[in-house]
Amino acid sequence: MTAFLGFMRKEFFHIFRDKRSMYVLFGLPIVQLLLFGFAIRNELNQADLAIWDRSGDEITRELTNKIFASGTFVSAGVIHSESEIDPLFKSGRARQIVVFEPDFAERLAREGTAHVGLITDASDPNQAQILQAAVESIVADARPTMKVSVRMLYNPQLRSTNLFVPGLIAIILMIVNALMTSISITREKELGTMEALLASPLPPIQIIVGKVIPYLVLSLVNVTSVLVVANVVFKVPFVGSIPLFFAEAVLFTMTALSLGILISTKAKTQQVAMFVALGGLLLPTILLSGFIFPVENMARPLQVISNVVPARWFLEIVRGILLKGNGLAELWEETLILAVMTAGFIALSLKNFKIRLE
Amino acid sequence: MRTLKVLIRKEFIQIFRNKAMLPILFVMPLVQLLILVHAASFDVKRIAVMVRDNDATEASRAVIRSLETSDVLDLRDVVTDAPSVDRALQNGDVTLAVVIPPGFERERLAGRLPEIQILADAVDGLTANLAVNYVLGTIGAMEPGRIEVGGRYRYNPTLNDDLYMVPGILVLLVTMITGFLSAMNVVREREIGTMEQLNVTPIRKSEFIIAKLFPFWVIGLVELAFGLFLGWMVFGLVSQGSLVLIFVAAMVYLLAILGFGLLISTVADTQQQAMLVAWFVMVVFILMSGLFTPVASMPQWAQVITWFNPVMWFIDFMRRVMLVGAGLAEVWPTYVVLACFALGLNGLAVARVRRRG
Repeated sequence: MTAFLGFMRKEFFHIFRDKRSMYVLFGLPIVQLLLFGFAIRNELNQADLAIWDRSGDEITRELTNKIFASGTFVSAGVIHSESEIDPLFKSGRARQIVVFEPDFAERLAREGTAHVGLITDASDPNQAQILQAAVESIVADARPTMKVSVRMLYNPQLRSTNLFVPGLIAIILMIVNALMTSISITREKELGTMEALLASPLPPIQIIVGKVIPYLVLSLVNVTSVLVVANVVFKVPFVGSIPLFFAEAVLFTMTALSLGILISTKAKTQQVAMFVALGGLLLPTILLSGFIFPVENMARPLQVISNVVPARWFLEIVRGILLKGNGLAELWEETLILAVMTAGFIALSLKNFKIRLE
Repeated sequence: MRTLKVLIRKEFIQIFRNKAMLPILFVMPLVQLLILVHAASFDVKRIAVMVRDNDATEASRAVIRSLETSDVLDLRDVVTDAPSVDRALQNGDVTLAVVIPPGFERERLAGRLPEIQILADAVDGLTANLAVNYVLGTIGAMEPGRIEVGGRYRYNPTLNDDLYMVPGILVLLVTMITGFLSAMNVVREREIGTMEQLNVTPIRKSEFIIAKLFPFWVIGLVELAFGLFLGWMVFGLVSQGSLVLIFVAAMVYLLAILGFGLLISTVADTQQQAMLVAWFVMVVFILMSGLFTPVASMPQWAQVITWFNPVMWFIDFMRRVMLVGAGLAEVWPTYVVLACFALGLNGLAVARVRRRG
């Protein structure tokens, strides 16, 4: 036991002596948080919009005013002919053009309907759709047929920070526990020091446990610091139970650690370990978990694949706890899936772990 | 010159001797393109909805029918009590609930404005907003609209967001491969101690650096060509603009990224460190590049920061050339900017290499 404690102390020294890595490990999540909190927005504001008013009557002027009063759009000027449209888009001076048909007010009075045309630069199709929907709802509001009140639950200000913080936590746990461990164990192999360790009186299982425990501690401290900053600076709520959150975090940490060990049993050099961890673990955690892009929006085959990405389930758990105040009653399914996955990965990495060198 | 040739040959041999390298170079782009393009979508395809109908009249049923006919909305349930609505939202079974209050039909027949309530799970604000707009549009469509709005989408009339993602992902691909590999490769010599051996040979520092970086420059360009080929094979994306324009820009851009890799290798002692630092910078570069979220949505000060991000410039360039068909007349400033990055980053890196030895 003393030998094991001594070994673990040595590992702690190894990790914390490397100041540069510590800066990155603690700095990166905070920088990401700040970027997500202040700079990265997926909502729309201040889109440049030009008007082509071929009627120029009372109602078209009223609608024009309503469009700019919404705060979503900035005027990119007025045009008078079809030929002015293309240069506006090509130079990027306008994203959307609103066209009122000739005799707009007259038609509306006589025939009961009048047409508004929207021409949108759709090279970014998502933004284009949002832009058109925005004008549509402004125009519909101008002549209402029913009142609709909308309540946004769990995130009333629609802040994207609230959405991203849980994903950030999953990524930190993956980077520290899977990426760092797999590289650090592979490093011993690459530099040849693994032989020395295996020849020592410590049983191999203790060597691995001793290597991963410092990372486990490190990652939990890291997650706590992110939560505190998110809560203090960005007022990201923590509605649910804190002990439950940490229990789930430890569970996900185990998942990541077992994946990291699994990689290190296979990889011979640090570069290979890094690419496998990056491509096989980190990218799916970012892209297929619903961190930025909702799982429901993905192509069908990817939705199926996302089921085996542990982060997907962890993300649902963390969002549930943080924003909705869910407890185990709502989250037992996700927790169970994660637990089963973890047990499987641990079994697999134990099976692959070789105590002898080739 | 002869030394340089031999050194470059040695580097190529060393890179490709690693059996894992070829798969990384050629499988990764394929996987990334396929996965990223199909995963990275804000395009809402399916929204789970439920209705709480407390009116139960012809008018409220008409609202329900209009929700049923939508392709995007997936009407899961119609209930009459509040707790089941709360439960479904809490569990995440539905994104959105429409509540029709009693007296809905009466109000409407009386010519007043009846009220409908929409409850949305707004954890994902963007999706919630789109979903609400969808429901509003669907419910509104049952009324004979007095002002009709018709939209036209330019440059991408079918709103295929695969096409939009491809150029950006190509940039991500060549940036990651060349940036990471070059950073780790130089550090590796230091970590395993062979740097000292190289220092005592008559090889000059400049020859060493060029020999280290040149293979990755070539690999980056091949990677880009391969990615463009895949984009054409898999997604049928053919560049609107000239390929020459793209490759000349890529040559300059890759120089900048290699400079960045070299710079990182001068601040790191181990490959693990180099990778962490490269990862750190790369994440910031990618988040601030407009790849996933539009630069135009950022606040003004953040937009200014993106001007110092080479990735942002090259992604913007690739999108305008490949999708809109911009020519030299429109994109020449990007060349100037990329050249400045290449000079600046390499200058900085070389100065540090000299100092460090």
